[in-house]
Amino acid sequence: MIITQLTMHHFRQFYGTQTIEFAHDGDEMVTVILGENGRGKTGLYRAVMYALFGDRTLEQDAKGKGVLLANSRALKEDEAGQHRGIESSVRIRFRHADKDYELHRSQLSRQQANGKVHEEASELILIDHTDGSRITKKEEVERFIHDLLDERVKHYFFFDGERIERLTRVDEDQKEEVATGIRNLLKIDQVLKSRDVLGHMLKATSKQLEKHSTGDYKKALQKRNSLQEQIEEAKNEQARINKEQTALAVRIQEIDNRLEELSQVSVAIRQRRELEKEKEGVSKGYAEAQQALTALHSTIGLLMARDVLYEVKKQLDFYLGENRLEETMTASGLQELIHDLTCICGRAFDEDSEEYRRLQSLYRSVKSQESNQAYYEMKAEVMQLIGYLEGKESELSERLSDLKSYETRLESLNYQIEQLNQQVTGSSEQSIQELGEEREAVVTRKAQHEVEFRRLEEEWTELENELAKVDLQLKDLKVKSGLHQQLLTKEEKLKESVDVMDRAINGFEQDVIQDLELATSENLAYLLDDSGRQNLQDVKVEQDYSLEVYNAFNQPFLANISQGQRQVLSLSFITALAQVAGGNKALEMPLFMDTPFGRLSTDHQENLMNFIPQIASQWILLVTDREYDETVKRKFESSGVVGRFYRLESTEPGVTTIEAGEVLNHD
Amino acid sequence: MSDEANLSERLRPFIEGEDPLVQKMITHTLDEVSRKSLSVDAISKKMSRRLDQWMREEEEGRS
Repeated sequence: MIITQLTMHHFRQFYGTQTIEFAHDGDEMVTVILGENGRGKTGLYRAVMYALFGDRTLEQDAKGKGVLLANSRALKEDEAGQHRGIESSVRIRFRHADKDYELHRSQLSRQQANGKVHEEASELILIDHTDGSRITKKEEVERFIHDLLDERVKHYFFFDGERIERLTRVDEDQKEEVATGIRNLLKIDQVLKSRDVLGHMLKATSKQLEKHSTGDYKKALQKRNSLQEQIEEAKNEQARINKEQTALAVRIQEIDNRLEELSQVSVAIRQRRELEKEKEGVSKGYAEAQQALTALHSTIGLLMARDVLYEVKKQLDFYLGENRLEETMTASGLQELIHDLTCICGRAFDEDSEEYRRLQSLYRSVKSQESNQAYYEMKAEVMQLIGYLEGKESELSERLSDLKSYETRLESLNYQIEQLNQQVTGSSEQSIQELGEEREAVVTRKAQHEVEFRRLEEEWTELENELAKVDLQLKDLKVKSGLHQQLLTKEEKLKESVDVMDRAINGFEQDVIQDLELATSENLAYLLDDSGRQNLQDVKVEQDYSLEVYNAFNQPFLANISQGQRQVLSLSFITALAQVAGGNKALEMPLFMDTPFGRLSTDHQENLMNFIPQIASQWILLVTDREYDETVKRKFESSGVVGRFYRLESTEPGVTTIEAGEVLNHD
Repeated sequence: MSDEANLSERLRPFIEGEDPLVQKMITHTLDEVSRKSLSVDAISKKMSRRLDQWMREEEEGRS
């Protein structure tokens, strides 16, 4: 399936009719849809899931909280107008096996008097545009979609990036469902169904043979059929026990992990006490640093005016000049000397002498200095203030630095204490005891199962021995008619077919699992950054298709990897599935990812952007501007794989329009 | 593995060397299952008739 177009009408944020054409041809198979949070990226994801699978809610929706699929503005307009209700629909146009299809799903919604919105399913139509035929029966449309993509593995192809890492965390109940979905995707289900067909034929033939027999032969046949049924029952019971044993082993591991956590609690309490003590000292230092800073409050205002002070000093220097006379003489003293025609040294002079002119000049200078006395005093004060502030500035920066370092240490201590609090919370002697009791009960049950498992094995081995004897007895008994002979041969051939098929299934599934392991390990190595690549070496795909990852020392390491690495592991498995299911060509299935890069490092993101276009036939990316900035956009588009680019713009609260953008650096 | 031929092809190594009629039975059953979404019961009936026919032909060939 390749999606070529998505059209929404009054669906979620998309008011009116809005369409997106998806890139799908050749090398340019990537469609990028950029939108900030709340612009409707998940609305698009929701539209696709609704159209294909009828999903009204997504995994991330709050439980019990209904999600309104109808557009709010259209609903309000309807309420204010004719109040007939509105139709919301999603139309998906897709290509599959060289045919062109259109899937249309719609619902009717109406605002009720109590404020609630009543929504009900309306149409579900599948149109084959190649021959014009239509399917309108819900079950038939659903079966068609199921054949395209098993609902149990839909999250491997249509997924929300934030939740993708959950694929490596499926619980025991989900595992079987997911495994069935994967078998279906890999066509193993068809092999299993073929085995069922052969088994069904064998049973029918055996019954027919019994019906046409008489006497000892009939008795022997009845005994054989009864033995076969008992063997089957015993084996089924064994399989059930085996499954339960796996769940019990998982529970024991969980309990052990929890008990180990609890044993670490006492260490955590001691660490917390030490940190709290340190926090007390740091808090005291912090308070003192705050006080010291408060004491500088009045100075801070002056510091802010320091530039003004410098300017005043500069102006005063300019006005008063650089040289200032010593204040040893007054203007009145000098005037007296001039009047007496006597020098400072006591020598007499006349009015034409050099001494007289100098004294006159000195008198004018001293006179002028005396008249500017106030300015000199002001300059002296300004200089004093500047000198004072120079000292205070370094003091202030020291105080601020003290405060900052106390603050940083306090934050770090608070964080560490909070972490320890979380470890300590909920743990108590009581829970240790309860877990211990539960563990004992689980271990006892597991041991009982082991005994029962062995007993069943002995039982069916004995039954099989008996069956072999009956088979010999049947061979000895003479065949009565030609019909008998024919049925016997048929039964023999079918029995052989079932045995061969059992062996083939085992070999085939192991082969597929091996392919998956190799492809997942290879993809993981490609997608990881250098340090991850060195640490994580191999991936093992278990029989139930769950994953385990091994470190460089060949130890199971899944429980220890980061969330980002988990996401990369899930993506490696998804791409491996697409590769193995696709065989020698890319699987015709879109990879539809909502915000896939959120938790990924730059290296992981770049590796993924290079990798996906090589193995998928269509990639639809819903991204935020944080994941996909201008630099990433330019780089990605220059690789030539981006065919379409859209931007989701909010035009009014709750209404988004889809705007087609230009793909740059595009050949 | 996008079509039934590919599926039979992938299973071939696991049934090679077996009785020719058994091989024929398995590959035809696989093809039927891959091509049509019929029930196990329906395909069983169809394949049973086909096996009868092959056995008859084999018998006639021998006589």
